[in-house]
Amino acid sequence: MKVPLSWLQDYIDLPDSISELCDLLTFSGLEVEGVETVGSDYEGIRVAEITAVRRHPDADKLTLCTIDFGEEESLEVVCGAPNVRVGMKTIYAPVGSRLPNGMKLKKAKIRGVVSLGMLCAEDELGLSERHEGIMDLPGDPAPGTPAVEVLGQPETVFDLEITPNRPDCLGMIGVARELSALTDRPLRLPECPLPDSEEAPPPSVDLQDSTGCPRYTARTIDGVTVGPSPDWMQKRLRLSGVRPINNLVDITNYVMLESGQPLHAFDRDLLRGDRIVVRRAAPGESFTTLDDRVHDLTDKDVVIADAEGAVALAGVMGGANSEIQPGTSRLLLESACFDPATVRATSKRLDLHTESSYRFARGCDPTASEQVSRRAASLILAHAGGTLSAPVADVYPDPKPPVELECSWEKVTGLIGLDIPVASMKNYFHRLGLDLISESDTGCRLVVPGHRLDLTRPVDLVEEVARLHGLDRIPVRSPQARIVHGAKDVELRVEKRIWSHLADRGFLETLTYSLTSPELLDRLDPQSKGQRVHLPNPISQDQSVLRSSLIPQLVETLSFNRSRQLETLAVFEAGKVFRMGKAGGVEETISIALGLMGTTRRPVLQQQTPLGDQEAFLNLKGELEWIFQRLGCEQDITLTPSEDPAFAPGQGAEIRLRNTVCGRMGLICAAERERGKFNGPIAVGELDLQPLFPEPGALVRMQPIPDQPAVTRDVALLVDMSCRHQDVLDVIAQQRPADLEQVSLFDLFTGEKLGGNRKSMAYRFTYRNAKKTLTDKAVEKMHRRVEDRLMSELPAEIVGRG
Amino acid sequence: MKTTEIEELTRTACAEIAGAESVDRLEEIRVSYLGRKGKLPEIMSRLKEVPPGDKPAFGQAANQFKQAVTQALQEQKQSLQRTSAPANALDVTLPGTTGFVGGNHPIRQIMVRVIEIFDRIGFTVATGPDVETVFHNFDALNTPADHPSRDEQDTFYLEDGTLLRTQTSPIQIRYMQEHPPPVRIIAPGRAYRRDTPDATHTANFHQVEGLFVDKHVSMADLKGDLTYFASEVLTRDAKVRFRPHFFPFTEPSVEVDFTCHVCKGKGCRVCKNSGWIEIMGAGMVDPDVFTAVGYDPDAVSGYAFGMGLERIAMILYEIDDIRRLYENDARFLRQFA
Repeated sequence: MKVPLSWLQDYIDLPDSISELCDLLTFSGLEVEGVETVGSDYEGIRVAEITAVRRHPDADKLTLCTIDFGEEESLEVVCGAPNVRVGMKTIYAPVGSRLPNGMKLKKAKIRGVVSLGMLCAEDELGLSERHEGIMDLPGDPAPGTPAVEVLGQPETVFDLEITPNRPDCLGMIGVARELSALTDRPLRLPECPLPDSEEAPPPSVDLQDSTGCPRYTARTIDGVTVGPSPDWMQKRLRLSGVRPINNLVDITNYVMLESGQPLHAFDRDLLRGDRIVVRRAAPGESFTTLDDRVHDLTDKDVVIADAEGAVALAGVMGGANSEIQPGTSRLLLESACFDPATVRATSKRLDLHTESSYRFARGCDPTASEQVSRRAASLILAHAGGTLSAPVADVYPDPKPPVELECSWEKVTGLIGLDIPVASMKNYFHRLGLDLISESDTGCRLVVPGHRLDLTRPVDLVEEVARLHGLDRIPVRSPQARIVHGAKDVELRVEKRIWSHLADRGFLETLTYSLTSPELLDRLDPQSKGQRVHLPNPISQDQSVLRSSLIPQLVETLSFNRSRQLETLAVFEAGKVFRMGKAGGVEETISIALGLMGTTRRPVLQQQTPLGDQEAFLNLKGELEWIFQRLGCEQDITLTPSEDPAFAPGQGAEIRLRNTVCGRMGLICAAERERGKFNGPIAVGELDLQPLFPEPGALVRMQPIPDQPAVTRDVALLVDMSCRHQDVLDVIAQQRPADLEQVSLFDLFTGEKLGGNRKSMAYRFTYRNAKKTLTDKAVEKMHRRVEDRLMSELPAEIVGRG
Repeated sequence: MKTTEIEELTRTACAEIAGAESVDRLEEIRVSYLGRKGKLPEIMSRLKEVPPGDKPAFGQAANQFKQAVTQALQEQKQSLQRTSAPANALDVTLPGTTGFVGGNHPIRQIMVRVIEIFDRIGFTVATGPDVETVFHNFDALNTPADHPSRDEQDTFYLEDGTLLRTQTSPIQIRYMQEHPPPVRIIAPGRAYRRDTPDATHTANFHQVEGLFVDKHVSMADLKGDLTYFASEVLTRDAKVRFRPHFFPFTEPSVEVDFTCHVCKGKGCRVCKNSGWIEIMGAGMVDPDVFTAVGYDPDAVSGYAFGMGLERIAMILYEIDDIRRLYENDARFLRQFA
């Protein structure tokens, strides 16, 4: 809310320092979001009279104005404004002067004509945003008069953020009242003496919905003259961001800005039947607001109606059918209190947001309605003339009783954490207008003034004491560390270990949005179709579904970086993925995904050798195995080929933990490779982390370290191309000798020499007995049986031994 | 021959050796002085001509000559060998085998840091679902039934009436429902708001929520714990400043500023000359929240705070656009590795 300092000064004497005022406001809870100086001292800028106007020789829209600015010699300036005319008084900024925006005027050539300075519009003088034409000064100021004398001294305007709990501060008086409480300075409220009204029955007000409108007042004034409002009022409205219209409308706006409570003025001659009805709208009732929009109303809306139909949407906007006209002479002034929730709902449903609806939606003080009406009426009589044609109609069927609160000294000081003397607390309450009605050793009872709608519970008094005492006086109490049992952060600790492990392995951690596009998921997580969580009200199609897998966005990340000329990259992301659960509801699981582009796993000097598919796959598999090892589950993991269409055929695998799928990995399919403009295989993998977490409290048990020597046998097997490593292990497992400690693959060879359909796999067999040294002969016997089985079962040919 | 001549010869030899530029040349020099037909045998052959009284001195001089030349030869040889590499010498300046830079995302780093700092004063990590109920996200947090933040304009609702949590505060509710007081938790997570993306808004962001409930918890505890946190996370001896504010779930509510980490409070560009940086919202848990989770508001009190990690990352690292944190440009991410 924009608050001009000079306006506040009507109600309270304030400290001179602007920064002191800003601190006062901010630390009372009315945060100063900005301080603006409107206008300036306009040094060198002055009044000029246009004495001649001629067309610019080379530009249709420009004119050359000869001006008298109080010097002996007149001069000529180029002007682009459409409103120039001979005899016009305007503001001239000569060469060398500085505009409020800091621009210094220089001699300039505009389309070939030299211009000595410029004639100014309101925006250039920092007065408003308007730039329709140069200023057309009213009255008859002498040419050469310093601009500051006609435009006024610069004004300081605060921009305050009013939190939703403080509707009482949505007006100048409310802000002044805060400052009065904070500084303990007296508040001067405007006097609004009203002459006696004529003897007549008060206007007829039929209040049918006292829930939607707890109080309605109507005053009638006859014989007003519509015209411009006084300059000072127009200036204040402009400084507050409200456009002046005419005296009647301006006064209602002025009083709204002053008191915080909106008002509305009807042309009484347009009110059919000369009566006001406050009622719920009839379902389907149609109403045209004064912005000429037509609305279909429901029985949730409250309207102000005359004898025939609605004339205003209560607290939101008036109607086109009853608004003030240039010829209006009789008016009915409404000052009422409307229910916040009703106004909020109507304003939201009709998408109709006004200064009025904004204020009523936050709440208003029903006890103030009549006083606000008096203030507006007195201004109308003063600035628009007319007479009070009848006494006020004031319908307030259930006067709101004042709120009384019990305050416990100990509760207040206990929550603040500071011993504040009782006398101080009572003083703060007094300054805030809270009347003390009784007091005991332990506390007191207070009456809350009507405007403090936010003080409804004893706890609400704590903040009042704290902020008046000063939040900076709250002591800094050293942390009182104490263990609270029941920590469930084992999982986080494990995750942290994985995050930092991957960073150490050269992976960059990425973060992507939880919301993504269904089309992307279709491509890279097709199997989740049917289980995805779609948003009914997304901002865009690109972010309309919760991610079901981290892989799709990880591939996008790789592609994004590829298009920025990166050849190699290792990335991972850890986070939640979402699917519809079988029993309904959304299942959230913690997932981790890894992606490798290029030869990141190779030694630096071998980076340029092209990366084969098998190597790319094994690189990523190796990284996943690191994680399994870190989690202690590497023995329970198996990979089986999968048909997942995200992966190239034959290049994807399902990852299983004790036969339950817990992840997938593979090389992305050719279409994705092409789309991402990748120039080699892209390996990605994803794990569902939760099932992999170690059992809480699981401990390692030490195994004896063998003291017997091992005997090794190396065997090179020539096998069919389709024979997998697992097939070899499976055959060995069929009859594994007890003393066979380990079997490890150490070479894999394919080549022309072997023919296209065969390959050589070399294994090392390690034999050891925990109790005795194995003899060559004993090993030979065991090993021979293994070899025989491999030859017959795989089948394999043994092409080398060592 | 006099001993002075031998000393002169020693100096000549040493100079010659020092000037030698190859091992081969050194060998020539060695032969010319110490070889069978070199200077040393020649000197020794003169011994018989020396008067007997001078013989010990002469012998000693000859010996010194031999020692000096031998030592000079040795030193020069070593020095020459140092400058010429052997055949199997390594290029020690080549890059190491694994030269890749990895690292955790700046948001992750800050999240972990915040958790660690509170872990030290007895806070436990708590988490909750991203898909929340209206009760946990709004009702229990004392949000009025027609509060604008509940609008479909601002909140993502799912078909079944659940929503994507707009804050991590529902974790407080869940935790208190399941645990009797005292409670000290720190709760990181994602939150979602229906904002149109721009330089300071994204559809989801990260928050960390703190909650401390016990007997006699006061604003002084809040200030104390946050002052400790500020000193750990931003700058030593940081101070904390409260500004009154309004949140439905705390009363009183405050916005919390920390001493600017760049200028240490003197005023600079980063803090817009105020010396302070707005970091989080906080306050004393509203009695209505306690009632909603079944705590007795007369028996306990507590504080809660919440901060946006993206915002803190942007302040700390002077990041100009929040979307950079989600763009995942390796050149950006590597800066924080």
